[in-house]
Amino acid sequence: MMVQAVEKTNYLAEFQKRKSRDAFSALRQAAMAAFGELGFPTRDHEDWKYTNVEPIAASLFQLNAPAADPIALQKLEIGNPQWHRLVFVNGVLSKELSSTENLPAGVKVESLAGAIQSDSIIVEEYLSKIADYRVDAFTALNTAFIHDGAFVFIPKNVILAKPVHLMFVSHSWEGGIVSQPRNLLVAGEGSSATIVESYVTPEDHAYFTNSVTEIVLGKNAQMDYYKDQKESVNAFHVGSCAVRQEKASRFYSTSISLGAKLSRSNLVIDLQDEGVECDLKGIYFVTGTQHVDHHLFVDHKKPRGTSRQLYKGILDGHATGAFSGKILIHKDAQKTDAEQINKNLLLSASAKVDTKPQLEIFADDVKATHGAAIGQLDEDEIFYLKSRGMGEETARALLTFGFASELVEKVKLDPIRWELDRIFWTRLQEVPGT
Amino acid sequence: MLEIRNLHVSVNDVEILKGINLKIKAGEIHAIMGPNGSGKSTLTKVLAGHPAFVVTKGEVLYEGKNLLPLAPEDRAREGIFLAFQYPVEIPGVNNAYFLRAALNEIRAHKGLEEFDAVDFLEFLKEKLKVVDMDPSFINRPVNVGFSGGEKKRNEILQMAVLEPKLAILDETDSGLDIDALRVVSEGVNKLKRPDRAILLVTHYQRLLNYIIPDHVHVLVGGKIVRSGLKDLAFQLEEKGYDWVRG
Repeated sequence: MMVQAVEKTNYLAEFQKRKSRDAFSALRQAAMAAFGELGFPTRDHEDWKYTNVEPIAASLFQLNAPAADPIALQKLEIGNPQWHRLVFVNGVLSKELSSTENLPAGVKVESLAGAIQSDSIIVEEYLSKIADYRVDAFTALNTAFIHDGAFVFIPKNVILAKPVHLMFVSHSWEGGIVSQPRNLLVAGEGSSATIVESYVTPEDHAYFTNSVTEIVLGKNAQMDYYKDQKESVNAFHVGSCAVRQEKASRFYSTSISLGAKLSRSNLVIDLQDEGVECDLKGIYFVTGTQHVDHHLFVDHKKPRGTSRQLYKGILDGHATGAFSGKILIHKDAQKTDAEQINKNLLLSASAKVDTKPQLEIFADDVKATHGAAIGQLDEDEIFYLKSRGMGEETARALLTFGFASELVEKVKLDPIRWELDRIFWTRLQEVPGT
Repeated sequence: MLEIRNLHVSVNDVEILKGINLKIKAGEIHAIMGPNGSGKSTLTKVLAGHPAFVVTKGEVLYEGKNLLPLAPEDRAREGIFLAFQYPVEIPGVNNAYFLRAALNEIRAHKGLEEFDAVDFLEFLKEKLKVVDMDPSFINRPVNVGFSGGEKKRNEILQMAVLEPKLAILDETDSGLDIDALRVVSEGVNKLKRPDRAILLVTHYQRLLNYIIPDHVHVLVGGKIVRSGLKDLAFQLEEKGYDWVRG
């Protein structure tokens, strides 16, 4: 295809120029080759049936993004002052905007570029071992350009009280940039941490974020992981998160997708040992001509694992969405308890969503359920609220809030929950006469 | 207060009400009794303005004005209240917020000052006593996880808060055990006022042991086949609906 040829050439040419010399040169080389083989996926690819990435493939993004402009960034609210924080601008760490004082002994919250030098043993042990670039073009592209991103290491038995905020800012005067942060989060045995990964911009430009986050949870470790995607409504966002869970570890994630013209969030959980638990929640709220796609793979390999998925979507205007979630239960994974729920609310006749739950079970003593729903606001419910004196808009806003609340009220981290509450209440307050 | 003249109503092109005539004055309690499928619920829904019910003929005057062109929310703001047979659950929205939002819309319509959260809470606590409801209910999402009886109680609480001129109660007795029926009925009786009319719709006579109507009408096949005073209800209970079908 013509489009593919142009864009692959762009990335290849830039790749040839870079020639970084470190322990990962061979990895980058192999990943670039894999990207060349795979190419950008088309809708013929089963995993990309509902999302057309041709607008990404057809754009000539600028691979050498400009450095941060402090004036433009003033517009941006830089995180929560109570949290540890790393801020990346166009994929590169900004030391000035970051704040990592008073970390407990042994805890590392730093740039991957630095860690490749200073913590090469840990980085080499895990980098690119969890996210598989051989099967996904976007992961391959990210891997070929591994340079910077967040590196977080929590030593054995350390309980990190304050959340770690990883903030990815896209910024330029004209747009058209690509940033490809690569993150590695390693939680040692028995440790506990909360990580917030957010994607923001002070402008409404078109740009492309292609991020990959790899997470390793040691034996009995716990992580609360939040992904807060608030890209520009003209941006493209492909974010992949791959998680490896060791024995009795617990992974609780909440994914929030509000921004981007086109977003795709991949989440792959490798429940590779016994008694692990994961709870994956997601909420998406899109309008206009936004497209939002969530793609989950929960891979139960050993006995007594528990997985929960609850994703809820609200689509207005001409927005489109997709959800696909696969639960695979291997032969050895007896006593697995897996559940998946995806519910969608369409607020307009033009909004559309495709949902595809998948269960593959090879063990005989398991509990696995899935359910998917797509609906509109119920006329009888609207009538009930109107009969109490509320106008059409108030009634619709209140019921929409109600739909979201099942998930929002379970968000543990207060500032995130408050923000979601605010987003839905603001919508409610915008209604005249409320 | 309410005058219904030769009202014909269809749902999905099927005629359900076939010429209803009814006059209700302020301060009166009217009961409409009828077997299943007689059109009782349709009458309550059409008065409240449900869009699925189409008036094909006739008129409804409320306080001397044509009610039918008004949207449901405007009818509510003008003082019409429908207690639902099946109240709707609204997850995530607590009862107090819901009631304050509704009352403030009605107050704004009347040109009254809106209640702030603190004043409203005081006001609401008084109203809870009408239906003997535990204050914990005001922080729970509207009707979510409520038992049948609690939902019906909550409807009457809404009526107490919104202070309608015309209250229409659709099968408020259905699904209630004898204790809940007594509490709900007492609540309605407390809300009886000279400037308020109440229209009760029920299948059974037992509700009328607690709430004594001034007039009883029997609805069969979309028409009022008999009207009378409260003893009509006892006769019906004794003889069954076949007696009036005749």
